[in-house]
Amino acid sequence: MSRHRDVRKLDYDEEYNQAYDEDVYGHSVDDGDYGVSPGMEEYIYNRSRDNTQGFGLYFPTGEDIKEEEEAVNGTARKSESLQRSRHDSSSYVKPLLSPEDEVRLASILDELRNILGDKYSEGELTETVLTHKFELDASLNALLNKTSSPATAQSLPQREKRVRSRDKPFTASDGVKQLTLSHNHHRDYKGESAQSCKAPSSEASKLPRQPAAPIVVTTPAKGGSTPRVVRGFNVHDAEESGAAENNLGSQERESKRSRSNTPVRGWKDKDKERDKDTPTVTKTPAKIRDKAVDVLTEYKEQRGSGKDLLNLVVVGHVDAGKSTLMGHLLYLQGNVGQRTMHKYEQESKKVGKQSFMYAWVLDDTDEERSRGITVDIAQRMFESESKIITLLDAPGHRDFIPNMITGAARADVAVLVVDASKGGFEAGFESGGQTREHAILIRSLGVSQLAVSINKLDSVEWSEERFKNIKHNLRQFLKTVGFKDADVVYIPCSGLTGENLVKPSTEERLCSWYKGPTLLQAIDQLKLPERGISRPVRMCVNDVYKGQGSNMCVSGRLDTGYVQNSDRLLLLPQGDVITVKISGVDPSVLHIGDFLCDPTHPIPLVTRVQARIVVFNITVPVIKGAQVDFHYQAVTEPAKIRKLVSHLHKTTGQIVKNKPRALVKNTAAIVELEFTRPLCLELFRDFKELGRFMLRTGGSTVAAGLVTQILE
Amino acid sequence: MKLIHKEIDRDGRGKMVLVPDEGEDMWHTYNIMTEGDRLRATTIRKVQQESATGSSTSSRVRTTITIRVEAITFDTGACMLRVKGRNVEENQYIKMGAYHTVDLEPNRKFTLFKEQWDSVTLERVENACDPAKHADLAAVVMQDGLAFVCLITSAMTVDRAKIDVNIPKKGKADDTQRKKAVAKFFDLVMASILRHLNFEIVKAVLIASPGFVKDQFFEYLMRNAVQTDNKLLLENKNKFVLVHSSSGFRHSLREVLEDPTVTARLADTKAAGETKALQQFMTMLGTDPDRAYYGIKHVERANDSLAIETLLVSDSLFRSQDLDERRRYVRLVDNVKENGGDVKIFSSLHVSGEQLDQMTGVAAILRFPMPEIEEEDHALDSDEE
Repeated sequence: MSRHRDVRKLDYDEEYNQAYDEDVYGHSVDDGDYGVSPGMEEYIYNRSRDNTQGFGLYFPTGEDIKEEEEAVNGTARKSESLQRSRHDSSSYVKPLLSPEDEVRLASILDELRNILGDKYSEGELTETVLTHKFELDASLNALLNKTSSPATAQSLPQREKRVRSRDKPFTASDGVKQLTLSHNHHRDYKGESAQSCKAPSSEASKLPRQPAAPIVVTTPAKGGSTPRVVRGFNVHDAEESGAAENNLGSQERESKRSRSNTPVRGWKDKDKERDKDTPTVTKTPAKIRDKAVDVLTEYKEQRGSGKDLLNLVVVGHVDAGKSTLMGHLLYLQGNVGQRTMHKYEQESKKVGKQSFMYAWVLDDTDEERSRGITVDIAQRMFESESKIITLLDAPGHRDFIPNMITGAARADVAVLVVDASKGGFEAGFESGGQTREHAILIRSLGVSQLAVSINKLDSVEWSEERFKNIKHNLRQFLKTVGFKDADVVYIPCSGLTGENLVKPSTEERLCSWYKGPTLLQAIDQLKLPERGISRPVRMCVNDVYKGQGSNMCVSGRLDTGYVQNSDRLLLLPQGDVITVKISGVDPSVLHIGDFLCDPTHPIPLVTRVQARIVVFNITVPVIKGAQVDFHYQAVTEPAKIRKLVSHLHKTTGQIVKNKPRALVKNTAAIVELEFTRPLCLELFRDFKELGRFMLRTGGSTVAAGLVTQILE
Repeated sequence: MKLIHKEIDRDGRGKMVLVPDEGEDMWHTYNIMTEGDRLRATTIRKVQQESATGSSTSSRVRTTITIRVEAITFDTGACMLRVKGRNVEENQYIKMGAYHTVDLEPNRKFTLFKEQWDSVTLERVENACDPAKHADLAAVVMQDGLAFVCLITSAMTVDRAKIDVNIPKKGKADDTQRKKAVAKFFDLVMASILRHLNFEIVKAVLIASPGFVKDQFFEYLMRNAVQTDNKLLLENKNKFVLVHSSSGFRHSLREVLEDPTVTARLADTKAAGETKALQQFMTMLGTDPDRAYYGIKHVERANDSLAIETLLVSDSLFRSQDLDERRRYVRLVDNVKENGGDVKIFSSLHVSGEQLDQMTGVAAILRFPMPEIEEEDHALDSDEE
């Protein structure tokens, strides 16, 4: 009996954690709500539990289930799992271990449970781990080999579901339904393993994820209609045009073919290529799309055999060497020509800033070069072994955090660059530095995987001690922010000398102690987020500029859905509903931060929203009526906190107080926000990536939040 | 503003004759006048006269009109005050009880009759008539592609222009588009500075921005001035002050006014004083929340215990049409003063006043912590629900 109960309790915890790990930023461990004995707990009505469930809706959790061992309360969890193991192993007697081994065992068990779910008993796991001398991989293999059949059986239904969901396109409301549905599943499954819970909820997580191919919609000037799209890459000539044949006019096909020959190069090359295409003249009647394309097959064909696309943002304190590191990486990857590099070298020498020569690859405006500081996001593409990576180089200076946010909002994964030089790390890491703020920001914006590049190690003689020290500090901190240890890799390198960027280092002092991956390899190993192509189109305009000739181009990240030639899109806000035509868009209504979306499923235009926010470590409390800068995707707008609805408990989400007077640091709350003009916002539960925002005031980040309700 | 004549009874009834000099005085008048007052001013009316023969002539006549005020409108941009009401004193041109609207004109005297001149209004008149308090200031708050040109007088912050230009992001092969857009943006800002600022009055021009936009702009401005031989700009070069702000939105003006380099220049202008007080309140709320309260209920409760050290009130509260409510605030102000507290009346046209308005318009820093206020309130809240 006790055993059963315990398993149940365990699952509650899982749910509890799923719902929260996304949202807990920095704070101390607080598990004070568990004053009840474990066996009793589920019979007792607990408001917080209900809240968790409710809130879980906003956090599609599929991918997160692996994160169950929440980093934030890692220690607490560990002890809990130990306790659990004791219950479980009533029949199994664990050998006596030294305290150190005990901890190691516990963490490996956690890892295993992450991967395998709970289908193995504690005893089994412990035994395997012990026989394999705490080697995670080895014991994992052993376990999997031992019983591969249950594993496949379990993953089967999951796969089926996924296919089904792809077949029928989701609408926003579908998504919601799906979510609620999956939610009920949780309850039914509660006796089973975490793995099985994952099936329905991973469904949910898929909804909002989306490709992030930077795309370009052109609106050429010649008569006709239609915005057209070039995807980031068209690798497979034959297949692609084959698949496209049914639905594209012959002219179109022509143009596609010409495009598909293009190797993937920089941004501008694509522009040129696109301009060569002859615009198709298609009368678009009321119907939105001429023919339904089997997007999924096409998508799979394009992506499946080609390389995956990953958006990577590079963040870190000012002068940590972000641009230099990435510039050097691009150079070593052959994305920057020898001649250009030579030119940069000469020019930078001339102005006495030779150390900036690699940074110049990314910092291309005069202003940035003369000051030696990145001001705005630089975007480049490069290829690694298995991925095509869109590199977004963010500015580190605190004044340009708004720019950094627009970049980070587009990213799937991040590289955090840390200065290892004497005093450099400390300057960036202490309260005034941006290392902390950037880490919190990217986490709040939905980035969960991180490669930490410990840069400038050459300046400290490649000291292992320094590396370890920094790694230790960062790990502590990143845990509190919400990054899991498993999703963070630490790479020692030097951006200036190029050590350990692409090729393993030849530097003896480094080789002697470091055997891990190079920066590029680490980036290559980052996991790809799910993309949800079958959702309505959402594209945030990041940039508006004139293409060659008189075309207006908008560029941005395609958040969800897909775009094909001749699609009609809706441009919002501005209040006006505009069909993007070849010559139909007045350049003056195109603004950075606008959204292009599916006319049948337009993005809501709102002036007032309710949101759940987590207040950071701030000195001046947030009060009713506070004026803040609202950062959302590429938009920065002034906003006002209209109402403080309730103050929530940080971990449980339970309402602590209604209508609080002020929100002090490190609290969670529900607030009402009002904007001066209508903005395009999505609910977090509908579009995970489009429901997040940041609030800043007076140059510091006040809070991160999720849109929970649209009021007006 | 000049006070020509003052005649007030012991019970607060009486009249004042005032002459507004400039736009800001209109704002003061707007705050002094309430509905139900009587206003006597001169105005120009077109009068049609019919002669005995039946032919009619029309002529423009300057006449004195006395109305009972029913509606007051203030145009912040143009600094115009327009008062609507019924005529209460018949004269040869205007019938009794007829509705008329009067635009108050600068340099023309008007008489205001009030049933009740309260302390706040009297103080306001006094302040308005103090000629020493004139430090006109201009501010340009900007970021890439967005700029506000504002005028800051002692009682008002007036937006003169908002410039919003789309600047393409970097990273394209040729940078010319971006450069062009930046140049266009700077051009527009410069043009609006020249158009809207009168350098004879303005004592300083603050240029505030995050990052280097301000430096770039100032460099551009001066280079342009040299090229076009713009004497006005070159002569006033030392009036420009570059300040850091975290964004280019209007509300970051508050931050700018908190900057020590600026406060030194502003000396004792009202705007700076208000900003400082509000900042103090915010800090107190962060460090010792039991000593900082906002909202009329809380503040009144603190006042009952004679706890208020500094009271921050927005002048918008005294414009309330509800007489009782107005009296409530006046009483509060009087009480605090009696008890030796400091009262700061914020102009709702300043950014700091705007912020105060957002948070109910009244706030107080207490002498000693009073945690019971909040607890009490909490108890009340739960009762209500």
